[in-house]
Amino acid sequence: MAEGVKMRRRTLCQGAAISVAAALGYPGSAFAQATKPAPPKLEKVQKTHAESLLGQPVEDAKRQTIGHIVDVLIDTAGNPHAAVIEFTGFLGVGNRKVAVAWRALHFALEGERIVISVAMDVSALRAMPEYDTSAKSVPVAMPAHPAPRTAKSP
Amino acid sequence: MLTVSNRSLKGLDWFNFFVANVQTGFGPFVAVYLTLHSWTGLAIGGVLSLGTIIAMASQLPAGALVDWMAGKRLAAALGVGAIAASALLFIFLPTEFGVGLAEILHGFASCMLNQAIAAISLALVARHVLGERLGRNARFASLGNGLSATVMGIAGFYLASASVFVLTALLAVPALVALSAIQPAPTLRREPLIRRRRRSLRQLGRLFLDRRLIAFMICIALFQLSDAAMLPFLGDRIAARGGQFANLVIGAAIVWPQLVVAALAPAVGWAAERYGRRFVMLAGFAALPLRGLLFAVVNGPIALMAIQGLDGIGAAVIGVLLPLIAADIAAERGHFNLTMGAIGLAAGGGAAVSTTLAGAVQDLLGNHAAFGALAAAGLVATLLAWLIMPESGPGAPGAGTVAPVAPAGVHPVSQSS
Repeated sequence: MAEGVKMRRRTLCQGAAISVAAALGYPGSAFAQATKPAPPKLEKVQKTHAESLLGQPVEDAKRQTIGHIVDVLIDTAGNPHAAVIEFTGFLGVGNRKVAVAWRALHFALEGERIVISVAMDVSALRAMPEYDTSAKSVPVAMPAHPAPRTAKSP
Repeated sequence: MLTVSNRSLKGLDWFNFFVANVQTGFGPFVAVYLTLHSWTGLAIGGVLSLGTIIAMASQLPAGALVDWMAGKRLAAALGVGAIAASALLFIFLPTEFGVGLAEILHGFASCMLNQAIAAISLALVARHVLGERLGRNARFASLGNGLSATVMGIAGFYLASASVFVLTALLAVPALVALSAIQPAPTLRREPLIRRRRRSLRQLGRLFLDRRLIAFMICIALFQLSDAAMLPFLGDRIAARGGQFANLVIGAAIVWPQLVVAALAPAVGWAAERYGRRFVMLAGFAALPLRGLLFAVVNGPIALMAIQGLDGIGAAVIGVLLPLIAADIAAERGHFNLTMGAIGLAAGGGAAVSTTLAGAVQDLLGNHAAFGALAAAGLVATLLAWLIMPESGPGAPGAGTVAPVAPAGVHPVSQSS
């Protein structure tokens, strides 16, 4: 389990590094020239500043769990564009995966935990077309108004 | 009239009940549980496919193994133990290795357990009341399914999803207690031993060329092709349109057909002995295209849930007929559990294709058309059952004549003709 988290973080870092490099216009050889990369520095981060996202529950406005985040969709800059939320059915029947715009998500710190919520009509969200990995375009549910963030990310 | 003790039959009732509890608790929660352990969708999909493949691939080997084992109760106990072990693996070793192993254990044990229950039933009661016995099995199994679906559907929502696996492992205990109440009928050992001496490869080949077996395999594969995708597709539609009570309606759509099975199954078993297998099979199969057609034209979530009750008719008929027809064939050719395994394999194959097929139709023509296609498959299944399925019961083709009363547990071997 911990291994899975580590692996994913690594790929995310690589993705971020590549996209940063691409954004700054670095050629790929710039990395290859650095023969001896400096050893990574150790940074100790509080759990509330580096929390796992996959599998986290998502709440509605009434504080009821409506599903879990199962995937994050990024753009070419590596920024999250949408979260895929799996709405929980009954005994696995009626589960639906819907991509919801990243800015529709609220992140709030509650004690030791980051609580994720979405301020859209849940019934309407659930009725959105399903997220399908094989399709070429992704249906993303967008909020009607840009949502105000309840908690600032430093 | 029966020499087999009442205690054994009660034990078998409750064994069916608790085994259903143990088996329901599993599948639906694997995906949610692994997501919470930060598994990616791809990895979860891989593990679930592994489970499906193992469940299919285990049918024949599990059947052969249960046939070969003299102690059917031991086979059943091993099956329960293996399922409990796989639940514990999910809790304590949620790594790729642990979960993969758990899925393999669970797939094989599930097959073995169903086979062992049928074998115990076959050995416990007289041939002419086997249908009613299998009906009771189906009744208690679906009561167990319905109850655990209710409890675990709610517990899984409010409690940590690991609780479901703990509950599954714990339920193995009452299952084993019920199993221990079944006394070994003398025939439990005698019947397979008699048969084993006469076995040869050529007879095995003749078993797989048996017309009744081939016809039933084709019919049941088509039945599952039509049936298997209906519940998930129905759930999807209710989830999309059911509003805030969607999950409640879906829960009802899962539990209510189980109650229909519990109410009907003993009567189905009785009717299969009284009026023949063909009659019962046609009635059960005909409910399938009707259900698909209604789903294709009806829209309201509550109405959809009510129509799903028709699923109980088909489920009761399959639950009784699958082991019963296997017993009919095995009465001549032996290899009871291997025969059941072959039928199970056909059913699993049909079910595996079902969602893919319905999904393809849905992508092209929409959800309603998908149900239309499933209804069409059900209609073909029903027509084929009518055209190619011969009567397999005792006294066939003039089914309906009650077989002479045999002492309990002794199978009339003179059936071979």
